[in-house]
Amino acid sequence: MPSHEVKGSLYKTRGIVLKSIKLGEADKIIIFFTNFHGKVSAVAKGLRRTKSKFGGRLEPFTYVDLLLYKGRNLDTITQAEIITSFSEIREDLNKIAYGLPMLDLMNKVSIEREKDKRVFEFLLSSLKTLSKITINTDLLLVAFDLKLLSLSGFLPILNRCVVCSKTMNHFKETFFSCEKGGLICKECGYFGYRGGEVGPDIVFISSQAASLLSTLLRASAGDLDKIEVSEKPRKEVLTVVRKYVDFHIQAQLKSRECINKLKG
Amino acid sequence: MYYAAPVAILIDELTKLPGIGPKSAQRLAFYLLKISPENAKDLADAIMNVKDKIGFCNVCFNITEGDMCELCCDFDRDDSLICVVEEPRDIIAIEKTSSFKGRYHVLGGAISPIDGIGPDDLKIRELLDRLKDEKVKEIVIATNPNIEGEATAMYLAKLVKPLGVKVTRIASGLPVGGDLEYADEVTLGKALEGRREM
Ligand SMILES: [Zn+2]
Ligand SMILES: [Zn+2]
Repeated sequence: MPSHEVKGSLYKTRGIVLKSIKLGEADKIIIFFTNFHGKVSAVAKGLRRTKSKFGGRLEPFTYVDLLLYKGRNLDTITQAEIITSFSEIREDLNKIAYGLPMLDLMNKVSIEREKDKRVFEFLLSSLKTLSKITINTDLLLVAFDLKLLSLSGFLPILNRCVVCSKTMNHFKETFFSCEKGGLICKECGYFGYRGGEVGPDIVFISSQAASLLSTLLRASAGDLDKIEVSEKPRKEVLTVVRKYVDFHIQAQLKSRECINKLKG
Repeated sequence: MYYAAPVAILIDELTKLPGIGPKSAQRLAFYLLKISPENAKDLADAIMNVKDKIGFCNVCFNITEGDMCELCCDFDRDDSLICVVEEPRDIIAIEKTSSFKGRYHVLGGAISPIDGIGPDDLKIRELLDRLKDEKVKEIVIATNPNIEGEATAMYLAKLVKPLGVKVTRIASGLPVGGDLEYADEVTLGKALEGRREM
């Protein structure tokens, strides 16, 4: 179906619900990531009423076919039909705990109306993986963060030192710099960089954690539940990537703070 | 602004009310300018009265005039059942059905990670304390059927089930008076899951 044709001020698109915000008495603003228009915010009138025609069609994670009415400020949702409801995610507290931070980051890094088909496809396939995954949900979030930041132009450099360019094929103890966007060798980390000072954006990571980072950056969706890794590098990777995300968003994402309380 | 400062301040305050935009705030402000000083004082007193006298029930966190709300004081209600809701106004909605005779517990919201609202921001610990009373046999979770309400329900179930208290969730399904063909697949799916024998 050609879903971008515009008839008058109505237009069709497909989108994934990232977030909803209450508006007035009974309405909500829904933020979508769409295939043809990038991030779009639109009003769902009467959505919070029990008899709303939208029913459960506009809950976060839902993938919908939309008919939108172009407004002066905000667009209005005229029709929504579910393509995939991703109920496997919404009915599993653990998946919600790791899934909402994905939607949150997508919302934060994307710019209204900036179309990006690759990002759309990436989000959709990540949600498909999340709906099926049974272990390593935490690593799925890390892989999501790394890949989404890469798609947004912040591909972390993991094969050489970002200061002296020495290749790091034999990963020894190393540092990760959020500002420089990659690994820093032990020597530069201790002595060369910033006159020997390890700044607040620099984190020490073990060799296992460094190689886990590059595995996750390259991993395809199907590989994630095959990764076996011990608790320590797992924790290191979660910490360093969260720092990297916070650094680029220039905010701490609230959605990440309750993961540990909600997860299984 | 084209208004005298006191009028501008009034409009500004009114705009903070839910559902009131700048236009409505302006209309309300001009209405208030016209009413008698007595009427204006009655309104101001009513607002201050609510702030002075109304607080939260020590037991269930419903809004109340004293330490304990009427529903918690009522001897005729069933102590073995606690209905858990997000907001005090949800109690009013359930009371109107006359279908529930147990007690209530108001969480003060729902888990919403994106807004930074986690379990510790809700009256969950207080609920668990109430469950130590052996009279409680069942909690009925009546949070909203949206992602925040469902996440809260799942979280509570995870905490409460190991305590040996029965956990039930109000059914989701088709609104009475609606047509089946307009139902979305999520709602219809839930309605099928929650079917009952006749
Ligand atoms: Zn170096
Ligand atoms: Zn009470």
